[in-house]
Amino acid sequence: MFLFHFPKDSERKWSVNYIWLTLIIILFSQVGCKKLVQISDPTNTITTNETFNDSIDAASAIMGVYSKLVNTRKLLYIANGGATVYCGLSSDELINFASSSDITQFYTNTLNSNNTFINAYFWIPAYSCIYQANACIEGLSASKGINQNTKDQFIGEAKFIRAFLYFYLTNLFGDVPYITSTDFNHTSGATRTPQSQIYQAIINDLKDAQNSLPADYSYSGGARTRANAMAATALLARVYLYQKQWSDAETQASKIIGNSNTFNLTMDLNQIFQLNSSETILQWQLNTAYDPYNATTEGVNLITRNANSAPYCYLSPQLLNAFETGDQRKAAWMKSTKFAGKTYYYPYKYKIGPTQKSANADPTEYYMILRLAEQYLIRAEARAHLNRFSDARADIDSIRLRAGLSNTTAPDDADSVLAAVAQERKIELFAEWGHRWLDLKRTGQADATLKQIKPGWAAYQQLYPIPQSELVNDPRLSQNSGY
Amino acid sequence: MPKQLLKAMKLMIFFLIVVCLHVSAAGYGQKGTVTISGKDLPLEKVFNVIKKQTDYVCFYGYDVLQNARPVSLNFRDADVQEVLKAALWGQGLDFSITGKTITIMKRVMAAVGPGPSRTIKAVGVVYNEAGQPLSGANVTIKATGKGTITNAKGGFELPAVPEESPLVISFIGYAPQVVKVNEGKEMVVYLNLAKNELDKVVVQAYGTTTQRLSTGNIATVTAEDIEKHPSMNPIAALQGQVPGLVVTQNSGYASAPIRVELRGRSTINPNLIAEPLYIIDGVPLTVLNLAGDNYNSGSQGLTQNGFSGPAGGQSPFFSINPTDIESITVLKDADATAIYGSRGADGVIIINTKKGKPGKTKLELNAYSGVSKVTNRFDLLNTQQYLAMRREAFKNDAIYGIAPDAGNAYDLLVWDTTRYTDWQKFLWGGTGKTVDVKVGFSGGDKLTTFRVSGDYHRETSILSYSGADQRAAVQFNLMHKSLNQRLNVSFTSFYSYTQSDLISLSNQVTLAPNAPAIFDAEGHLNFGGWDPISDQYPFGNILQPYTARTGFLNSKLSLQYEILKGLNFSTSLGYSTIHNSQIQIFPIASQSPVLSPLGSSNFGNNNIANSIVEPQLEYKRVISGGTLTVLAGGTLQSVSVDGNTIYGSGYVNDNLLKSIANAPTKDASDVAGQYKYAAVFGRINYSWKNKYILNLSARRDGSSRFGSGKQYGNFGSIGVAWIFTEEQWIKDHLTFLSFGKLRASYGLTGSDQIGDYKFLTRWSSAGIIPYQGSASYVPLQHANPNLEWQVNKKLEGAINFGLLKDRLNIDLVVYRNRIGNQLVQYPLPTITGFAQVTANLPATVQNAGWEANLRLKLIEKKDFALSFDLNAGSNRNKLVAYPNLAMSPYASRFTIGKPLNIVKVFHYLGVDPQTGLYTFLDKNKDGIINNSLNNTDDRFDRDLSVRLDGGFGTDIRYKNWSVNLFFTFRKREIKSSIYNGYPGSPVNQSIQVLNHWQNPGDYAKRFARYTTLGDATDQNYYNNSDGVYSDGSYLRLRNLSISYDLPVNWTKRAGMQSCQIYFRGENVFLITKYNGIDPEAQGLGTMPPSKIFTGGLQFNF
Repeated sequence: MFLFHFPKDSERKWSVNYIWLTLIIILFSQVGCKKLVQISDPTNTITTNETFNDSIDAASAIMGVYSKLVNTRKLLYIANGGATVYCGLSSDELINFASSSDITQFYTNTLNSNNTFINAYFWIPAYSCIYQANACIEGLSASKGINQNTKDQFIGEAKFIRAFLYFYLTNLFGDVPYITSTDFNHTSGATRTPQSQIYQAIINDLKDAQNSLPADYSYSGGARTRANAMAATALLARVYLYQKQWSDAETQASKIIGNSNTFNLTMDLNQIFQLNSSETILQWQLNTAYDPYNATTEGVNLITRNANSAPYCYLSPQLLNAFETGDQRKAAWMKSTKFAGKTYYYPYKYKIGPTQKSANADPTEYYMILRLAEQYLIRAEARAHLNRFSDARADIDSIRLRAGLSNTTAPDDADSVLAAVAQERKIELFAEWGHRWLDLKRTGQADATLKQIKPGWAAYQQLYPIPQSELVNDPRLSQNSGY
Repeated sequence: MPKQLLKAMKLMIFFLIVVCLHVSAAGYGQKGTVTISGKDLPLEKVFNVIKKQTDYVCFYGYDVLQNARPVSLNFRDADVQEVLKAALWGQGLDFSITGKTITIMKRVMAAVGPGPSRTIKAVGVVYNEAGQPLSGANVTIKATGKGTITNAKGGFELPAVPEESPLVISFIGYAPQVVKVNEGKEMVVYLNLAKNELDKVVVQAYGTTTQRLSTGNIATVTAEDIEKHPSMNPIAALQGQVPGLVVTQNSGYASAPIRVELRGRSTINPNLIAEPLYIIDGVPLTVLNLAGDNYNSGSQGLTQNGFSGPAGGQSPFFSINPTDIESITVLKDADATAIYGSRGADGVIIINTKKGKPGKTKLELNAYSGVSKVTNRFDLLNTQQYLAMRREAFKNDAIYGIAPDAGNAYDLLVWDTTRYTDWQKFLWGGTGKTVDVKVGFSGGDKLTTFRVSGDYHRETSILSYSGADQRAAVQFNLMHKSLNQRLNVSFTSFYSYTQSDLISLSNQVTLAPNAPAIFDAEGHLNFGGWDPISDQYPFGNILQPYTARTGFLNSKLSLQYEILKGLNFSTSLGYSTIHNSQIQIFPIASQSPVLSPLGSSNFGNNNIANSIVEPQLEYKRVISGGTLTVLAGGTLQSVSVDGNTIYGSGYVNDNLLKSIANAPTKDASDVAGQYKYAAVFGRINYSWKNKYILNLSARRDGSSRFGSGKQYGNFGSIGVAWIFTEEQWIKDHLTFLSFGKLRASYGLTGSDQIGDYKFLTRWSSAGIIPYQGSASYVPLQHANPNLEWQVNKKLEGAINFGLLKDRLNIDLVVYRNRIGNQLVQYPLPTITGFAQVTANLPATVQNAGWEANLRLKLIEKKDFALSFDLNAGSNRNKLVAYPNLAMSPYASRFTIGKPLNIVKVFHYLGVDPQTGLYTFLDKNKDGIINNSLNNTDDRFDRDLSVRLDGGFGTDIRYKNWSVNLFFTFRKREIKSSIYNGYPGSPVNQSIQVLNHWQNPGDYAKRFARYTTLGDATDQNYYNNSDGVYSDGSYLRLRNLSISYDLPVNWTKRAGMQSCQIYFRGENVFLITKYNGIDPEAQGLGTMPPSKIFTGGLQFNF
């Protein structure tokens, strides 16, 4: 090394010293150059531009939204059992056994805005997925590396997911901020959007999805695990129903029911929730390669470990008493456990629970998002409002037939037929996606029904509170009244 | 042979002789006269006689006597000078006597100046005690202030010194000497190390200084202070030692991260940590916080992969052997830290390990062992009291329609109500054991010195089920100077290996006292017995051990070369690397069998590498009676941190859990971060007659943490000092003052303490389960390309006094730091997609306060010494400015003009005698108490900052005995540890809850009615009220140390230099008004710090 090279005489010494000085000056003058503080891009992440530069990465971004919706590590999030269980508790279907205050608040309808489930299981996952859907829509729209067809398809899926989540957000919370941008500078001070505008946006998204997505399941390899035009249509039928646009609801539901090449009521009640059953319009896929068990989150949480262990939630007497004699759904879709001398019934639509699950086995059930039976009931309700009573009865009877029940006896008046639809929805769709809670609210029955069984019921409790932390972090947001 | 080499060899031989003579001269009595007679005596013989008969020793180079001729002498009891004069007469030789040293030298021909202002030429050389030449020593003419500095060989030459003026020779860390110029003679000056605190060497940024001359705020903790603490982590020893530095260990685990905060909270952001810059032997230890961090718990240390284990991370300093540390220096103000730029914005902590010293090879052996016990236990309810509480709670809740059933009252209806377990005794009943063995060698000659040492430490905790922490460390230091003294090479390195075996079991002592047994009859974990909450069975951890193995290598090579006299080029090349591997297993046997569980394991790895290159040029010269030092340099630092975790699951057999290859399914995630930092800096220091000192520094910093165009910032500082005791009028009038200095500094530093890549959009599939067989990407953050440097403005003033000949030293400091353009994790509503974004906030935070330090050497006698030390610091934190705070996410957290560490709480009024509910003050008198977080109308600000922190101690030495006591104290308010959820829930409570409301008409009860309703409004409010806060101030006898040195005549016989027996105690006692057992154990059931007692032996050969 040159450092050990000692000069021998003074002349040499000077020249060496000047070389030294020059070297040092060169070294120092290099500092300040940008390159010195340039770090390579992270090895374990890619940028938004890279993500939407080609269709493979862009597909991964779309898959990421689905994955987030369903893979919740056994927690009941909004789109993976949360709506079923927590909305079920809020209505008259379910009663909690576990007594943590976060859960109890749903049952007693005394939610406070610091409830961690409201925030962590509903609000945050919903908006986090909406953000990603928005990011996909923005990224794809700006992309130059992806062909138009693929772009449209991906955008259509993102719009379906966005519409789906806003549907639940607005039904649970009322007016919520409607966000379509990823720019936090614009969205951080958002205010609440009136529900009517949110519904209009949902309808627009679903129409776009209907137009840009294929009607079959070819692009998901035959599996009914990605949103297509049919899924958009089914959800649109529901949205029109909620919006009391009866004929539109009837039209959309008919599109699904009429598509008998693809959709048929699965006659075996135990087979409906199996993967890709003929009744399926959309299911979330379970992936056992990462989570080694083949059970749905609902199954794991709701099914008891054995016939003598405590349930997480159990079915209310109001629901148990609503079943008609001979209804086969009672035997097929519920099960009981005896704990500390008392018998509890719990939902058993999904059959694989914590002890039935098997490691590394292929799943036999997927998580059901949209199914044909609901479309029959949507159409029945729409037709009842349109005074097409016999058509409505026919739709109801399709469902009753499968349950082993005789045809409905509802006479030709709207109230009777609607009551028959409501009864059928209560039974057919119990412990499924919070249908009962939403139905009670949209049909104006919530106060009358819940007042009788929930002490301290008040009308404001129909809406969940906006999470406290959101109000803190966005002072422009307001709370629902009553909270 | 080249002339220079020859010269160097001569010099070396001279040194060797000096050393030999020096050593042999030791131990002789005081004699002054010489008796000598003989013919043709060689001079060597004459000198030998002088040496034998007196306690003078003679030094001379071997060529000095080359041409000397033998002499004939005849003296009886003659003065040494007389004898020498006669012996050297006519030989062309001269001698000089300094103390007991006689130096023989060739006569130098003097330059003779003309006229009345006659000047003479002074030529000399300056050495230290060990005979090593001191390069860069100041040689100034006392009368004129003019002077020079010594060259690499310690030599100096002043051509024109006024005849009668002495020279002042001084060097950092040495006591200055005033010497008279002897005309025509080469002067040889030996400087002795300074004994007083003011003049001892202290480490400063890129160099050394002394407390006397520094213009900045530098605090030093020495090896002796550190060694007294039997803690495995040297940073823990800083607690209470440095004013303004608040050190808090996060948990009772020895490897747990330690939170260090200098002069208050500087950032608004609750998710960023403003930690000081740590520099170990010149190598910065920068750990990128990839794990995401929290202001309150501090950095997770070296486990950045998201797998932090039972201790919540691992402190990197856990790997450093405290006994290898020579000193820890804390740099605080702008003047001291500015040269480190942005990295030093929150203070700098410099850790230097021990170095070898020239002299006989020394062997040091040290061994100690000790025990630790829990200091104190909480008074909790027994089974009867507990069950009564639960039954009463259900009775009270009947009005809400709540009845006990198997689901909510398993402890009453399902479990055996006659059981009683004192869980504290059960879990904390163990005795921790500590063993430490150390061996060290050091020594060297004038050109080369070395030190090697090795250490092994093992300790266990007080937990009944615990693993052990172990560390083995080696340290090596080598320093070498070239023969011509111009090249200086030093290499320092240590390597340590630690293994932590941990079990997470500390906080389960508040289980119901009638909770079922841990083990069933067959000795298996008793899951079945815990029905219906067998899924909450809390002792599965016993079979889920965590092991972390860490290797830490830290090396630095530094080279220094004197280009010209006073101009030095140096560069240091440093590298440190930490590899950490972790495993925690979750066997089938540790999980509830009813869930038909499978085994799983978590594997983790963390790698941290720091490298640094720091070329520097330093120029020093004497100008106009003052010393000018100019430093220019550059820094290039590169840090890379990466980590991964692999979660293996689906194991059907517990025996294969430690092999990831055998895991049926694997789930991996990784983190990676890179950080580069580049800077150029300059420092100009001018010290005029050691009276007025000016220190200027400037720098340009670049950081990779900012986006394009925002990477560079300019910063600088100015420091001035006035040593007023050097003024004649002070000397004349204030004679009691031995030292007095006023100093002030102001500076700007930047800060880039945010995560990496925050300016970039990031998508990842890590940890995201594939959907439809395709990888799934998710976005990770909001990108903010506009990030720029945070700016810290630091202002400080200080006065230092020395009284009673420096036996009493007092330092008083006031400072004010203002931190603007705050880099924060700005909270966002999650409707934006993420809960935060890293951003600059136009807010200003101020930390202002005072610090005091007092050292008193009351008695300093041969057999008895007594000294006191006191240091204290008080910081007042304040949010100075925050534009539009009311409309920001922080509206409900902060108040302008108040500290950042406030909480907004209700004012608790007591228990309503009629309802048994807690009641609160309706501050705004609107009839309701508003509990929503963003409505603070009924809330009061409560400051939880540390208001005063410090320590004091005393050293007593009597003959061979030494006793040292060290107390730490802290004044602050914290949450009381008595409130545990709400009394009535199925967890145990303090016996204080017995004082509760039972029936209408119960007045002045401390606790409300029992309830099982966790969401009862009054309980919620109470938890957010001042009722749960307590004075957390304390005074702790942190350390007690007693040692006994065996008498010298005993150790001599055993061939030892010294032998010491010692006893040390840690956390000996605590005085506090805290409502709980220890203010460092906040929360009922948190394990308090343990008492540790150790005893040991130290041998020096």
